[in-house]
Amino acid sequence: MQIVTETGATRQIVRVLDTRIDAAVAIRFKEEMREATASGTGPVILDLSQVEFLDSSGLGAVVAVMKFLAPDRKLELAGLTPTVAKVFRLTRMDGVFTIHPAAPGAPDSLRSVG
Amino acid sequence: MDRPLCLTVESDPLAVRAALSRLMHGLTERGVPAAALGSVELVLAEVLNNVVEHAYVRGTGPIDIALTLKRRQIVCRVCDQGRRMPGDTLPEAAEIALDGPIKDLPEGGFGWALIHKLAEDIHYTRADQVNRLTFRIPIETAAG
Repeated sequence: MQIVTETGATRQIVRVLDTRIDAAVAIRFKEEMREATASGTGPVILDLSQVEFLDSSGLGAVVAVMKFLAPDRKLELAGLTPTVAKVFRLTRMDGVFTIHPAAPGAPDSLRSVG
Repeated sequence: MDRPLCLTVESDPLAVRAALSRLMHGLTERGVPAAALGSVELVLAEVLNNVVEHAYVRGTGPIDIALTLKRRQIVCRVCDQGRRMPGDTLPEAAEIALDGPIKDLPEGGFGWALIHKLAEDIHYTRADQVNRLTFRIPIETAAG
């Protein structure tokens, strides 16, 4: 599980570099997110633009991250690829999270802005 | 009619991941459009992970997968020799309560909800110590 984090004054961006958050890595993902967000303040924006596949275990892990960040910090999502977006839509979790088309500073955001 | 795409996989999350990759490759070779593969992979992942986590909760064993392409759908059969489903029946797609506070949000229970939304004609039988799940996944033509 590879994630990188950019900590700013008002928010933290966490980018997942793996292409899958599935049953094989869900627990590891939660642990890495806990570590990555241990310091820092403000909302956490999770950049999922490299993640092509997320199953129900991965979804559960993202929800778990939202829960352990609350109530002090908010978890927001960005850059959902089609299959990942479908999982959020079919489980109605798209209504629970704030979802940005692309994460700030991500290569994709340059394209989607224009 | 196409020959079925068959695979036996050990009940382990990484083995399931590798099997999904091979199955998606096989379906692509059989002409299933890339845009449709997301839903197919999702349903199969949920079904296979359920077998790993529940049927083989006390050990490991083989999972037999057979996929057959029929017109605009993929007919699937997944068999295992693990524990039977509780009550010998399929779990329902329970409505998940999402309107409560964040601390009460569920972290599980999404798997069957996804299977019921994306697959049709889901049948479960238990005979001769074997769990057998059959279902059909429509091949989507438009992105959706």
